[in-house]
This record gives sequence, C-alpha cells and structure tokens, in this order.
Amino acid sequence: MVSLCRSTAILLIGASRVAFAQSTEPASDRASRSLSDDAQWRALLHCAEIHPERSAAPCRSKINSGSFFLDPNGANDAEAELRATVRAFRSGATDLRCRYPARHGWLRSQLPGLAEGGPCPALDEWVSTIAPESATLVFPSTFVNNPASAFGHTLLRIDPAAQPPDSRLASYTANFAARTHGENAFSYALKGLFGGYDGVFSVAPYYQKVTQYSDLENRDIWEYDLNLSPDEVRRLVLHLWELREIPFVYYYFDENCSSYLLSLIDTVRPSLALRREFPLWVLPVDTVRAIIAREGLVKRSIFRPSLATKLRHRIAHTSPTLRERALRVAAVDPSNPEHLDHEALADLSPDEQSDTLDLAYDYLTYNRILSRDEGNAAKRHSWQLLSRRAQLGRKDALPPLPPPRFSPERGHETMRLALGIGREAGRWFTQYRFRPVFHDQLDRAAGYLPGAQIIFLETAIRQIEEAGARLQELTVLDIESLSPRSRFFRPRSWTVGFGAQRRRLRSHALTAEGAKRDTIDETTLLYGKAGAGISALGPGGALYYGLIGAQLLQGDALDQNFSLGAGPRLGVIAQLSDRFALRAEGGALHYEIGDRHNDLRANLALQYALNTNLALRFTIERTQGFGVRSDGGLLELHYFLRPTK
Amino acid sequence: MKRNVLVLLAALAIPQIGWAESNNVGSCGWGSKLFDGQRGVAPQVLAATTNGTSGNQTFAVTSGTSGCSQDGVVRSTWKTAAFIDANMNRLALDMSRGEGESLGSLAGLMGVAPADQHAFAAKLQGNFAQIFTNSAVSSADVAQGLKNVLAADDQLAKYSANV
Repeated sequence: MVSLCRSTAILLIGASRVAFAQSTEPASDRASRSLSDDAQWRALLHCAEIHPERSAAPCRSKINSGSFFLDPNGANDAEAELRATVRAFRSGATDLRCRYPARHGWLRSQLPGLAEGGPCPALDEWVSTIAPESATLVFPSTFVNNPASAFGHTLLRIDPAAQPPDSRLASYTANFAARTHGENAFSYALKGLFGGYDGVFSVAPYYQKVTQYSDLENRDIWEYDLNLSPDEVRRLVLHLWELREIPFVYYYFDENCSSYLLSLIDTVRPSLALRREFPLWVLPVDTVRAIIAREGLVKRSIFRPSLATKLRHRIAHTSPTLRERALRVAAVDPSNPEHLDHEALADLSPDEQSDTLDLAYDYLTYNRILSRDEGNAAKRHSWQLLSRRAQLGRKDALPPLPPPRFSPERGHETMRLALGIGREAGRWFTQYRFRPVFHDQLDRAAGYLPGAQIIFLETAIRQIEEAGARLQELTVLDIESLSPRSRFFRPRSWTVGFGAQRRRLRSHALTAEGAKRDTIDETTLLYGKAGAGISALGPGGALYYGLIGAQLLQGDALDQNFSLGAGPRLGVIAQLSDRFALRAEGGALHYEIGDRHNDLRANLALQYALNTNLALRFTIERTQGFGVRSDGGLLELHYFLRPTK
Repeated sequence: MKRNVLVLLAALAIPQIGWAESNNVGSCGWGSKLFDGQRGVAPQVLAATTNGTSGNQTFAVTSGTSGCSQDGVVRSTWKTAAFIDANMNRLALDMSRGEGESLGSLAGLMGVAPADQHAFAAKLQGNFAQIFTNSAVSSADVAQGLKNVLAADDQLAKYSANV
C-alpha cells in the first residue's frame, strides 16, 4: 500500500517536472519567492506583516520558538522556510508531513507534483473527534464586580456538522491565552503588560468554558456564528494542530487572545485581513465589532446568560411570597431536612413548590460558588433540594430569558475624545481630554455593565485664558464597581485609582520682613485612592451609593511632602430617560497625617447622548480644600471612536 | 505526537486487570465528585487572570492523548464518559428538572433518538435517587446508575450500552 502510493507519487512528480518545468520547480528562485510572498503562506507562519494578498517584507514571525520552523532562519525568512518545508515534504518524511497538515494542504494546491502521502493516525483521530464543519466566535463579557473582565475575551468554537443547538456543549474550542504560573495579581499584571509571558493555543470542550465563564465567573456569553465554509474550518483545525504547544509572543494590549484569534481566522481567509485593522491595541470587544462589520461574516448571534443573569431573571419572575419561601428553603439546616417540607414548603401547591425549589437552588448555587464554600453541609443541602425537586416531577416553569437589547459590540466605541469649555475661579478655559479605554459611569450604558467604570490613562489638558496650558489631570487608573444590593445579592461596591492632578492650594509663606503672606499656588499632586461601601437601586432605577475611602497625596507643595486622609462619598447615578443621565456626588476627606487639611467636594453632572458615539456633558463642581474654595463649570462634547485603521 | 501514538498502542496491548467498572467513566480512572470544583473567582482589580492558561490546558481531545485506555471502545462513548465526568453539577440540576442543555447534550452524545428524548428525560427525573444517590457521589457511580436505570426500561434499554 505504502509503496504503491510512493511509486504513484514519483510518477506524478516526474510527469509534472516534464509538463510544468518552471512554475512547479521550487528550486527556481522566482517560483519559490512568489509562493512565499503569498499571504496564505505568510499567515501560516504568523508573520508580522500580513498584506491581504502578498508581501515581500521580512516575516518577523510572532512565534517565539525555533521548533516551529524547519529553517534556522524561518522566523524571518518566509522563502527559506518554504523551501525547507517543500524539501521536507518531498523527502517523504511522514512525521513532518503529519506535523504540518495545513502547510502541506496549501503547498499541494500550489505545487501539483507534491504527493498526498499516507494517513496520519494521531492527526486523523484528533480531527475526526473535533469533526470540524462550522465555527463560532465566543465572547464572554463582563463579570459583575470584576471590571477588569469588562474588556472581555474571545475564543473560537468548532462545531460538527448537523449539530443541534442543544448539543453545542460537547463541541471543541480553540483558546489563546498567556501561559501563567499562578502568580499574584501584580506580578501577573506586570508580566502580562511587558511581555513576560508566552501565549499558546489550547483546545478544550466548550462545556469546560461554559462552566468556567458562565457558572463560576458569572459572565454572559455572546456567540456569533461565523460564515466560514466547512473547508475553511477544516483548514483552521489543521493549522491548530500545527500550533500545538507552540509559544507566541504575548503582550496584554496588542498580542493577546483576541489579536491571535483574528490571526487564526486570517490564516484560512487572508483576504479578510482582520489583524491588520488594529495597529495600536486590541480590545476583545473591538475585534467582535471588526468581525461583525465584515459583510456577511457573521450569520447570527446567540445570547447565553450567566448564572447570575439567569438568577436575576428567575427572581423577577417569582412572586414575592415565593421569593420569601425560597429564602427560607435556602436557610434550612441540611441536618434537619424535614424542615424543608414542614416549614419552608408547607401549604404550597406542587407547582409553587417546584418554583420555590428552583429559585432556592439557583440562589444557593450562586452563593456557594461566590463564597467558595466546599463544605459538606452545603453539598448535602444542594443535593436535598435536587432530590426533592426531582420527586415533584415537573419541568422548569420559567419563561425564556430575552437577550439584552444591546449586545456589547453595539455600545459606544472604546476610545474617547472630549473637547470642553468651562470656567474656574473666575477664568474661562478650554479643555481637551483623551481616554484610550474604556467607560465611565455617565457614558451611555447600552452594551456595558451598569455601575462599572474603568478609566485607563485618561489625560486632560486645560488651557486657561491668560495663563497658558497645563496638565489638568492624568488618570492612570480609575476603577469603580458599584453593584447594588438586594435580598438576594450582597456585593461590595469598591473603587481604586491613582494618577496625578493639578490642585490649587493656599500656602503660607514668610516674607523677607517676617510677615505672613498668603498665596494661592498651583501644583501637581500625585494621588492614590481606594474605597469600599454599598450601593442600592432606588426609585426609577437610580443607583445610590455610599463609600468610605482613603486617599494618599504626594507633592512638594504639601507639608512633609505627603498627606494621608480618609472620608465618605455619597452619590447617585440615574438614567433620567433614554438619552439623559445624571450623576450627583458629595464627598469629604479629612487628611490627618502629613499635610493636615480638609477636602470637601460636591459635583453634579448631566449627560445627553446625541447618538451612540456622540454626547454632551455639563458638569458643575464646588471644592473646598487646602484653604481654597473653588467653583467651576464645564461643558464638553464627547466623541467615541475605535482604535483601528 | 509519535510518542502519544506509541503510548496508545501500548495501553491497548496491556490486558485489563481488575476490570471492575463496567462503564467507561470508571475504566478511565476518572472520579470527579458531585459539587466539587466550584470555587468561584475572587474579584480581581488588575488582572483578567481567568484568561490565562495556568492549569492543564492541553490539546487532548481523544482517549489516546489523555492516557485513558479504551480497548475496542467506540470513540463516542469515550466522549460521553468525559462529558459526565466534567458536567456532574449541571447534569444533576437538569435531571432534577427533567430538561436542560446539559441533559440534551448528553442525550445527543448517547445517540438518543428525538422520539425517545422526552421519555429519556422523564425516566431520569423519576429515578434521580438511583443516579445521584448522595451528595458526594462520584462520576463513575453516576454513570453506573444511569446505565442501570436505562437498562431497566424497555424503550430506553438500547441506550444503556452507550454510557
């Protein structure tokens, strides 16, 4: 069998050599260079420069390992790699042919003389288990109380043919992620930002991802069915096999899970040139936008609610009486299971009992996961509820959960420019602000998690009449997570932030004659702040919050060059209508250590959304701190844009 | 890759000693327990650590590459065994309610015909206590219970071999 295939191959190669002397002879420089310039070849090598059709630029592959390349200089020289690959395939080396099935498949289509070769058992078993037919882009979005996850994540799910929607859980996924070693959050952040990690693709069943993202992390998932042909999906899987254990360069901002997923899709259809759209940084939600924007690339989207979202839906559809009963069921001591029937479920019809048990179980599961309770009592309790529920023999009566009006990619773009005019201490000014990512409490909430704010590297430059331009504020990081409490949910609200800001402070200097002189100086202070507290939903859906926070200031103008204080903040964020939003806040900080002083602040901001990516914001503020009372107002125009070409 | 193929071949060659478990979950040596492994994620400020691959993220999709010997067993039943082992909590919930996506996926993996699916779900709900026998039941025991419950039903007995 084998010898027959090989002799057939030799015949074919011989025939092709006669018939197509020049174009199929890779030894000829012109032919191999023209092949290696092809976008498809360069995509398979993950070259940095991907032109949709061809490019002769040096490859500079993103792959961080020599073992992926057959030529010692393969990472930089696509032509040398192509020649080495063809040489290897022609030599009949089965293990190399079976290691690079995507390269082999494409080269065979370009070089008719190249033999098909025999079966590859491990590869064939792997591919037939995955059974690739169609692909779906999976986007797990925000996790309540974890704003860092607001940037989202993307992975790809490969579905077999004729897969009913009910059985998608057993499909396999391709996921790119950094290879971490369980470091603490700061090490992780630093290494991730500055390229201290490699990244790899891994393959796992979708149910593993759903359990992780949906149940354990409470992230809603959006699934976008892609319009890739079965042949394209099969080639994607073959290329994935080539990428097993292969490390890539990883940078949190621009060489991450989403950028490499775009590259992966580009390898099967280089004309898409998705990766090229993002020359700066790559946010997962922006890559979803880019893919959806391609005509016909997405067939439809499906919403998969998280455990928390399903719980909220169930609570909303349960009567107040049964809600109370569910809480009672949840409070039953598992060592006295008879209390379940005699007290918690007493006098309820079987339908009411099953509704109560369903709510109680979901609530218990949510809490057990959140509190990381792995004790036997909690497990016994959960099992008792399930057993009791099975005995009732009914189905779940909950009406289906409608998907949110706005999927994440329909929210405002992630980059913001703001142009404003205002008045401060009797002088007019113009202000320019630039924020690369992401969302603040007043920006239009559609597609974003309410109450979650992430600001990163926002810069504000203020030009005051007669006094010139100055850096008003540099917000390195400002995160606010305000999640409302209820009978069922008791999250803590918290904030953290640091940066630099311009302050006006009154200083007391001694003149040469020894007299005291009061001046108001402008200075730049560094600040770091953190706070925690609670939020609650009030009438009309307004979010009320109260936080206690601490703040550390550093600056030459301060006594002892620093100041440490603490105090409360109270506020409300309200959506007055579809376009109008309001935020009012008051806060006080008493600085006791270092430069002793008080800092009081009250502000009111009103936002009007002109459309998804354009808004007006009017803010008035009064501050009293460092001996200076200051009133100001500002009117800004906000423009949201995408960081792409 | 070549090494994994050799491992698979070697595993198939070794005779099965002590073939006590008559379902695939047990023979693969898995044994996750009900309600285990459900630790949630503590709030993270700076890191989306959940997107990292710390842990045993692999490429393994088939029996050979994960060290589970499958002497003559059809690949689909291996997938079923893996599914039961990894989805205990969701399966318990779905079975108690007589419906659900995980239960539907299990039926799909086991090749349950559309005409039998209603009976399948109802049977398992009615016999929940024989399958999820206690709060710390292992996946091997769940698979065995499932197998027995199906085997005892005229309409569904043909699926019991698929567990």
